[in-house]
Amino acid sequence: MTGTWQLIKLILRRDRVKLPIWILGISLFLLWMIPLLKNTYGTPESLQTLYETFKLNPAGLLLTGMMDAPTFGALFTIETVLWWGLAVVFMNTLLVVRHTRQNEEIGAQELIMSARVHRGASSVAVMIVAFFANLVLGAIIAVGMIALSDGGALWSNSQVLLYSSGMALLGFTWAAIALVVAQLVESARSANGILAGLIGVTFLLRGIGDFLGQADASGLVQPHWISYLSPFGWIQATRSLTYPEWWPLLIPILCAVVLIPIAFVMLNHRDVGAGLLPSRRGRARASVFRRTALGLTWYLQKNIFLGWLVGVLAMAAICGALVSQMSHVYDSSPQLAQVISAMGGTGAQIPVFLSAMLMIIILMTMAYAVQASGKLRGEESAGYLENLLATKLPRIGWLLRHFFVVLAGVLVMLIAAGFTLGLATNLGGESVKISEYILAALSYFPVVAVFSAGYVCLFGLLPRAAGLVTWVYFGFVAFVSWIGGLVNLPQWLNNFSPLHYTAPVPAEAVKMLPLFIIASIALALAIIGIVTWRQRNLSLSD
Amino acid sequence: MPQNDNINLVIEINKLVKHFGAVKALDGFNMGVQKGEIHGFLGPNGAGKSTTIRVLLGLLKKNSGDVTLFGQDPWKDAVKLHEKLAYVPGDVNFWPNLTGGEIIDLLGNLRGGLSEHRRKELLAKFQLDPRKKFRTYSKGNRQKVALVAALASDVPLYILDEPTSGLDPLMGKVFQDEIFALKKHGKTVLLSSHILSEAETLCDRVTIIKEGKTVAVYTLAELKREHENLDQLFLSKYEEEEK
Repeated sequence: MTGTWQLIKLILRRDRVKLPIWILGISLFLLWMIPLLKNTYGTPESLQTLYETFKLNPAGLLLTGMMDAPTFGALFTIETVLWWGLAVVFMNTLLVVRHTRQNEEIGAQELIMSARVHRGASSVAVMIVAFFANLVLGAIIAVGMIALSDGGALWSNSQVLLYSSGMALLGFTWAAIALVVAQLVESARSANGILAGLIGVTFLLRGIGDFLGQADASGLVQPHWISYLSPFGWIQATRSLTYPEWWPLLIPILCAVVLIPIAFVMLNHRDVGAGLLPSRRGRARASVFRRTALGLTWYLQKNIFLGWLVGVLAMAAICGALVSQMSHVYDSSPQLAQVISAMGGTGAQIPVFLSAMLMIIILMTMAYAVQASGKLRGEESAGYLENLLATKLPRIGWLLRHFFVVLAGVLVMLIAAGFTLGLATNLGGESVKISEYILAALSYFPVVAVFSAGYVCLFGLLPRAAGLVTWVYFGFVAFVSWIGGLVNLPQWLNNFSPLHYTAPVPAEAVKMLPLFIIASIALALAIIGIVTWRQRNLSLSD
Repeated sequence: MPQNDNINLVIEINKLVKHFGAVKALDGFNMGVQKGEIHGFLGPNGAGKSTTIRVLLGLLKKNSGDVTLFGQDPWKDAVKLHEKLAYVPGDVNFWPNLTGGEIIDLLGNLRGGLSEHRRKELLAKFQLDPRKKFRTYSKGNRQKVALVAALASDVPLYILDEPTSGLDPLMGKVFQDEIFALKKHGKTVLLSSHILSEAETLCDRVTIIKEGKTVAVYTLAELKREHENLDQLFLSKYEEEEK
């Protein structure tokens, strides 16, 4: 098709950093899981324990799918297929939308189409790029898995081929789905929103299907048929590393073969820039709340808050529901016990386990605080802030509104997470005091607030680096509290994490003094940020 | 000490210097805008027009020189001064998912309220659909959102940074009528522009800026005496220094 080759080169040029990061990030992190899992659960005994636990555990089935056998391949399957599959899917949908609908939205497509370029060339080009991106991804995974197979002890070469083909085909199928969705709506944002919804629904469908699954005569869990409505279910059905089956791969191939022509028919029947679904008109007037500075701040912060709230509450509910099952694993797996007590402290099993889970929830809340605070810089660099600061709204007032909305969000998230964790534990059959978990979660408030305050400080002092520095620091804190107890990190490194000074609650008693000190540090950071922000130039475009 | 004839100055800039790192954006720039006049602010891209306006709004901090707005310091008294002005930026950027109507209400409210009657009248005159999401507007319509929001506010000073660069000639005419109406009501307007014919029609006086320095200040009467039109003046100011 005329122009396709040039457009492929354009895509590769625009994504020269993005695409390699996606491919290498997904594949190398996946391969890194092999030694990591082997060190933690490598022995036949712990695999047997995990198998007994996961075989018919409803929560496990819902989240990770079926563990088919007490083998490393089965463990690797439940740990990776769905979660890495999810990453592969997002790589593909974002890629396709970026080079089709987004191009149209920003007006670049109009210019491209005025040249000697076929109407469908952009779509053909992006599908070719997606095809090869998945191929490269699959190849890296395959080569790495074969190299790390312990001479074929973990899995055979043909099993690896099935596993990596599954991942690649999952990705390409979603590229085809994205191409169809990109024809429907006018904005890239809506297309990505619809796709994220579809991904979530199909992910959930497979979870429900597996949850409703029954063990067959040989003891293998067969999912309910609704799992096969989901592309994730198709890939899972290959059971690549346990009881390999090739035929399920025919479904994603068939799906792509049907969807791609449909997308091109739709493309041929619409105007450039237009969607097949009518775009919705909005409100002619702003609501009384929306027209205030606080209302605007909440509008801008709302989606980040709600997204993380759903994630945090789901995590809390699942952890709580898992408690009774996890105590079995805890009994029989010293490695897992070590991981948990590194985070959860010492004492009776259940509070220690729950304290460790609470720690994970706290880390998620920190990530929320960093991302939500990032709106400060986002609003400034997008040029929106200039309009606001030319009104009666004071600079400091603008910053404080965002800061307080983030802190209030953290507060609500902590209370809700503590409540959910306690409630789910009770529903799961273990009796704990819910109020104790709410207070435990709340005690972390100063620790989480440090992240938002730290961002504010950098926003005043070094606005360009604020996001990067805060995220790197978050990564460090998460790493130290997650892995720190397992591998012996140098002590001085631990000293830089605020979580090093707090007690794992509620397993151990709250230490008040460190909390006061951390709260004072947060306050000091926020004040430095506010003072320097008052004094600095706005970064503006020309 | 302010001199007697300066009492009527709404904007007073003396020897303003502003640099970004090694780049000198403003290099001893002077400008005075009198109460009740429409003052044209002319110069090519990169001459320092937007930088000057952003110093006036207290968004950028000057390095040296004197800048006053209504006799006060725009950096220190930014919020108090912003009650008295409405601003249309050169690059109109708003949140893509809010509608034009919502943005107009928000800005109006943050400026201290807008006139419902004016809002309705201006939306009709500029033929702007307030229910569309901001990202779906064309360049001209984006400018109209900022213009309607500014013009619907009843303030003594309007600072407009190239407000008509995306408007069609019909809308340009609507804009001109609105600016004349502001003048009739005794408002002051600082109008940065590329469109010299428009400046010539609208402005009482013009300041021409080049590489961060004032190169000429003219009243329209002086201009008519010395030059055929503004185009010719503008080009002569730019060419004489090249030689």
